[in-house]
Amino acid sequence: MADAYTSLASTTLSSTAGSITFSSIPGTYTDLLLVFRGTCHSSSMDVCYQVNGDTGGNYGSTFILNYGTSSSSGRETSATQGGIATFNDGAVGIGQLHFMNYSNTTTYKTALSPLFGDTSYKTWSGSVTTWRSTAAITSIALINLQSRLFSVGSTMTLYGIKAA
Amino acid sequence: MTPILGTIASQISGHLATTSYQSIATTTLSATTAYIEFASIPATFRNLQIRGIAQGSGGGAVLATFNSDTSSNYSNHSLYGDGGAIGAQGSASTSNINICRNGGISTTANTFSGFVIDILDYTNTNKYKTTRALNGQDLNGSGKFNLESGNWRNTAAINTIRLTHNGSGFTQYTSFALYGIVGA
Repeated sequence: MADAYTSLASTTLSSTAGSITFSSIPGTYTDLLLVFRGTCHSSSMDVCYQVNGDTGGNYGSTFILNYGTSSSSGRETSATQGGIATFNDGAVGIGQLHFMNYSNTTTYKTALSPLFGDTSYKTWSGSVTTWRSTAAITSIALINLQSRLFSVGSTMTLYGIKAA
Repeated sequence: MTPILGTIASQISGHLATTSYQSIATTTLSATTAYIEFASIPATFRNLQIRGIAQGSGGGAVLATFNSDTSSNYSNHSLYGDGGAIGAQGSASTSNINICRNGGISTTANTFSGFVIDILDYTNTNKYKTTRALNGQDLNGSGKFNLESGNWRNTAAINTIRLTHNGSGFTQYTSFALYGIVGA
């Protein structure tokens, strides 16, 4: 029986970058899982994602946040990106992002982010984002709202998960 | 994910798992259906994971039962956010595990909730069974994000999992896939 979990691509930054993109994603899997570990080069930044180069207001997110002593829930509506988390200056951000049924052309695309955290400032967040498009996802870009830079050594790995 | 084999293959008797994460079964609905069931689950894995998308007619919640047990042998806790407030909730001695708190399943056209459900050590006959679930939906102005833990107070190995929508049923295109995760 074939392994249902396949590493599709992995990137480790050798120089700072404002975004990290996986393109030409094959449509032969059921779900995608993106695993990220990285830091912000200067100051803090809000890490987000866009798919298929779509910069229109087609994303909506519902999220929960914890800053160690306080918790809250928020929402972004008709946003130009899917929300993930805030990474603080000098802290290591880690996380996962699940793209569910990313290649079907019938439904909008739902992404779950259960574990984006910040190891130094003890922040944690979870989110669900809907990209309001029925197109199959063929590219994913990890970006940030402040146009800051991901540090050297930041890594991002994309896995494909294939159902029978 | 690279498979890890800690024993020389020729020394293993019985079932040989050559991969670490295997697809067991998938159900995709072509019409509205009250529940989805995975039966005759092989006992050859360490953990199980269910991944999927779902839409429910009439709102409601998604509930899990194991081995057809509908007695009050379950409990669960949840942490959730609805975009305006964050909350927590627990239920004891229930007849199922709440996988998706009320409001966590979409009823809106084209929009489906996402699910990642882990069922840990499901064949161990020495302890009760523990689950964790990640779920959410966003409707561009409303929605919910849920983290759920559950417990089935039974030491039996799990061989059947039923996911029930307690509204008017899962709608077309709802799809759940069951995977087995091999232990070292």
